[in-house]
Amino acid sequence: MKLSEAVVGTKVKIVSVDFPPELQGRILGLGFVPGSIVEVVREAPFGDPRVYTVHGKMITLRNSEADLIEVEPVSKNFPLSMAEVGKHYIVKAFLGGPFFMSKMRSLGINVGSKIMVASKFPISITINGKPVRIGMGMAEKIIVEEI
Amino acid sequence: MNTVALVGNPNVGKSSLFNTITGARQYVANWPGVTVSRKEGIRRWRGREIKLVDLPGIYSLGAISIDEKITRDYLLREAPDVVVVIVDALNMEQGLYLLIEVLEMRENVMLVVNAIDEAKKRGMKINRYELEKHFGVHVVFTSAVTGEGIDELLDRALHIITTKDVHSFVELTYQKEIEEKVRKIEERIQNAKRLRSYKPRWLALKALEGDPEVLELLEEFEIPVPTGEENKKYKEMIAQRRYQYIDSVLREATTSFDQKLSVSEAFDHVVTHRFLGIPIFLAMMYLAFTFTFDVMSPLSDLIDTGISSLGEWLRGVMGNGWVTSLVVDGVVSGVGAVLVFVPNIFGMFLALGFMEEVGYLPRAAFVIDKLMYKLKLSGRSFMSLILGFGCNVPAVMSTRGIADPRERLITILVAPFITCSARLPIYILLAGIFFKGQEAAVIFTIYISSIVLTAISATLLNKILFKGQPIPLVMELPRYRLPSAKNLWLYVWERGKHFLEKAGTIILISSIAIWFLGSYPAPADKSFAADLGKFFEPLFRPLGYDWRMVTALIFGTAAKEVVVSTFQMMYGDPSSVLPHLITPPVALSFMFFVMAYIPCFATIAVIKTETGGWKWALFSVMYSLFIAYTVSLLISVVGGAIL
Ligand SMILES: Nc1nc2c(ncn2[C@@H]2O[C@H](COP(=O)(O)OP(=O)(O)OP(=O)(O)O)[C@@H](O)[C@H]2O)c(=O)[nH]1
Ligand SMILES: [Mg+2]
Repeated sequence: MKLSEAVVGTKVKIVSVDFPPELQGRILGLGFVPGSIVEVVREAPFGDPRVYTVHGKMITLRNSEADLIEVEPVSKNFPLSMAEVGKHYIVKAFLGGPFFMSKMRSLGINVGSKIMVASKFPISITINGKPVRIGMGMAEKIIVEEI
Repeated sequence: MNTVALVGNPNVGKSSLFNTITGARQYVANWPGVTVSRKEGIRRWRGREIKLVDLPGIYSLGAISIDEKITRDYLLREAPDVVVVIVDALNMEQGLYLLIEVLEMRENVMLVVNAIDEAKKRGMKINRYELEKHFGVHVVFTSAVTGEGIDELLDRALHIITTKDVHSFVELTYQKEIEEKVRKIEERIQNAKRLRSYKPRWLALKALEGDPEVLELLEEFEIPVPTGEENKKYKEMIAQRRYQYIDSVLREATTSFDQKLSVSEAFDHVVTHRFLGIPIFLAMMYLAFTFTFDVMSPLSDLIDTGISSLGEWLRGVMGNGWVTSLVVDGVVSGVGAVLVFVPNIFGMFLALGFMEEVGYLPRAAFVIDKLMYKLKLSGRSFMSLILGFGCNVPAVMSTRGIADPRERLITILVAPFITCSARLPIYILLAGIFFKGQEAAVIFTIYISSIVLTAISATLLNKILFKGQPIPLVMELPRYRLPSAKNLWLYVWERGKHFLEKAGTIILISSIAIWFLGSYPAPADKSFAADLGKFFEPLFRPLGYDWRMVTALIFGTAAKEVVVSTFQMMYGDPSSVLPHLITPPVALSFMFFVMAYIPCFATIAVIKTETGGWKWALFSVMYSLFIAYTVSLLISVVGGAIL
């Protein structure tokens, strides 16, 4: 998988970097070396460039540069939108801002909440036995892990 | 005299420490790449003179952009007594990477962990002895804000100078394959006299990485060195090993801490938001302008009253005569016309300074990058351009941080279209006369137009001059910092002072010159100034300009504030005279002309030095004249037709 394809909010591990010599020195110096963990933090308007955290620094890369970094997933974390029907998940993180967070709280969804995906298109989950409808946009911002 | 050089990643506080130690006032701001040239200062310490050298920040010694090369070349060719590697306490990894690189190159190195105040605030603990043990260097914790550790830094540096004791020697061993190759190359160059000033191990490592300069040095030894893909592989292996080592040391030497501050996290989420990011940028700019005008205007009025009274008083004391006229109508009203805008200009710098110190600038670059990409530029050049709102000269200077030479040249050439604070007075004057009540909106429009014009120019230049290719954006986003009042004041004062100096020099001289030209052989209509203005006036007739406006434009090439001085001297009281002479669209057209035409002398000069010759400086002059004329003509004609 290319770094540019990693979903916002997830962490990946670098497998290899393939930059032209003039850029390679800087990229390696910044910590984009094989084995390093990279977190996809955010994307700019129009989805490009994106911010990554590597070795504690926030670095912007255009997708055309992130294409040159080959990565693999480290955690089984992914957005709820990619979850499968009938399976159980635990909520790991939210990607939204303050408004989104309060919305989540009001729905009773918190980090650590256990949920089950009841249906997809539209997504509906059960939390503490209660059914909750989730919009696709919101599902992108809820990071879950399978249990 | 002994020399101590400060090196480190960008934005770790090198210049701040340099300032604290030497009492200098170098440019400090919260974004990477502020310092673009080598700066020196002296500090007396324990009876000795120590020369400190501040250098541009780098991530690695395999440097690419002009500012990075300055640092690399310095370390390569000069022999400072101590090299101080400065790292950021909250984010040491990349700094320690550089430390390892520097340690491979030289022996007299020490480590400074700066911004220790921030680490303490977040409850992060760093074990100094672990760092000393694993890197084999003296370590000092400092804060440029509180002054902590500065004395100790100097003491340790002095200790290294006098005793040559650099702590211990720790050599990072690389993977077996690399060590074997290194040994082979080392053997070949062991006895070469010409290379005595370099460490053989460093040369060997660099040869493996395929560093062109080192390969050139080693050429005569005909050593079989790897090339191409192999270089790439070794470079990657070496970097990987370094980070492995750093990670393992830091695991022992530091306690973890709360990486993400919820406040700055939430703030960042909003200002770099997918949809809100750009509107927020515009809103911030608008806020800055409202602040510049509305908040600062009462102060301007106060100064205005003061200057008028001064003129009246002088006239009363000195009586009538040509000397009085020179002093009152020339100097006081010419220089005074510009001084009136000092509060606005200080306000502008305050707003810019806040943006720079808080750490918003790189975020703006990030948000806008996609649009810049369409212009075959990057967010990084946008960052340089924004600085131009203060003054074009530092904007052009800061392009040294742009790695791609073509992008750099285009940024330099379009930078003068960004409307600097010196152009503000004429906007405020004309907007106040012709667009009363809507000043902020009109001036905001001009600023936005100046950005649009810059963008169009960049596209044009890319199309005409270069076969444009997109360039990468690899940029660090610094953490947010609450600007200290002291830093902000220094920022505003350093720049505002420059403006005051200009008022006392170039504007003063221009005012006197204009007075003479405007008074002889006979005042007003029959003066030399009138001859000059009238000679060129036909050229500007399609635009609807009065000959006095033309004269003002001519004098304004020295410094754009002079346009206002000339107005004051030629019209006496522009606010009552001008409305009878020109229409609002012509006034707007004139504002656009001032915005776009010929960069001031200082900017032309810096374009010349930064591009290495007159060619591009002259190009910039001709090109901007052409653009100014075209755009202003359009506004005059279209505006005239509508009204
Ligand atoms: N809290 C705190 N802030 C600091 C300290 N040192 C520097 N800063 C801030 O860090 C930012 C960067 O400082 P600079 O001195 O410009 O950094 P630099 O290393 O010279 O950066 P470049 O010239 O871009 O390489 C500024 O906003 C400073 O105010 C410190 O010790 N503590
Ligand atoms: Mg600096």
